[in-house]
Amino acid sequence: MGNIMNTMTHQEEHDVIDRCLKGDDEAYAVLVDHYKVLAYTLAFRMLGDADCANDVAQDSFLAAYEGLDRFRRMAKFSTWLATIVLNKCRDRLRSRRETVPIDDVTEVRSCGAPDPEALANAHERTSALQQALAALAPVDREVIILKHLEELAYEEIAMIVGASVPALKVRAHRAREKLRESLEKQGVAS
Amino acid sequence: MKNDLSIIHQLLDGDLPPEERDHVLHQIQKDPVLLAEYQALAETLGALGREGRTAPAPGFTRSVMGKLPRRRTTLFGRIRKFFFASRMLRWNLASAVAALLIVTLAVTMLLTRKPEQVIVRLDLQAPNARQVAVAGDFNKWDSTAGVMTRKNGTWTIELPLRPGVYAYMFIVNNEQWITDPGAEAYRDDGFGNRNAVVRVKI
Repeated sequence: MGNIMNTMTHQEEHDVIDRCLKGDDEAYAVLVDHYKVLAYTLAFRMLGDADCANDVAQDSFLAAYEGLDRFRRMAKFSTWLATIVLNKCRDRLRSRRETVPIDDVTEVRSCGAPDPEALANAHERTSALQQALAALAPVDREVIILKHLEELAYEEIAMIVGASVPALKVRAHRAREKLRESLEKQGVAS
Repeated sequence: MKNDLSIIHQLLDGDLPPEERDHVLHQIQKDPVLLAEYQALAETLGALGREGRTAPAPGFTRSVMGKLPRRRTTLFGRIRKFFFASRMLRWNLASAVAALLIVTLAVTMLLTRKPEQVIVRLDLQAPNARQVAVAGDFNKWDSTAGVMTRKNGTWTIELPLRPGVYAYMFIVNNEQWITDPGAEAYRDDGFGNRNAVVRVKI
């Protein structure tokens, strides 16, 4: 699995950002197009709902645009964007007061007020893995996604989530065990 | 056992150097319990990898771009953008030929355009003269260039002149230089004589 976060060089990113800051709004489309999969995947895996993930990913790009002039040039745009996405996901999860068991995860996923048919379809579509991810604590879930789906180094994950590398490794260890346990319960993993 | 499990997670974290990684893998394969644990975790992460990334719905970028607030730019910024923003020039052969014709026509007209001139008429009452000519700045003081014509005792010439100020004198019978008594102005020629002066305006 390739890492899309590295396909645009640091310099290319900053050139595009400079164009945005000089008023060339169309340049921002380059960044959105390049990092939309990253933003959407993070949001979708964190929230488990396509509509919510779409909203969060779009809101994150808007927030990043509005804060472009405050963007710290030492960081990669992708790192900064991932931080924004995760913060917005945390806000959503906090507002839901997510303490729902695995079996009720479909209801947790609903962001607005979907109709019953949509909920039923969503339940069918929900993969066992997504349910297992939803069963993890959000802090563990974000680490497992960034480490094993986005394939980021712990140092970069530390910048995104604001935790130390040893703490992240503890979370990853715990998350892997819990994920395995959940998948085994669902008969996905042996 | 606890330490062994830690090694499995170190392996999964990707922290181990290659040679140590191979050694740990070898140790795991020799221990059925560790092997089962490792395989279960590896299968779990494999399931995560198989899910892969998820692309948003088509139109995502367009939707984001449509929601962007208008960024306030300074007047200088707008001017700069106007002149330096990248533009896509779309053209076809017919337009290109038409543009070429227009440019060629404009250049031709520019090069062949005659400067605007005014016809200036100079007169001298000299009924007894045999010949009168005018010399001045407009004909490089050539006494033979501006021969005037006689009509009822008045010698006349019409000169096409561009706007400007010109000094001139009449030459009567090819020998006598006379200052135009009816000139609108006069100027000392630096040799003790006065030249007549005519101002030509559009």
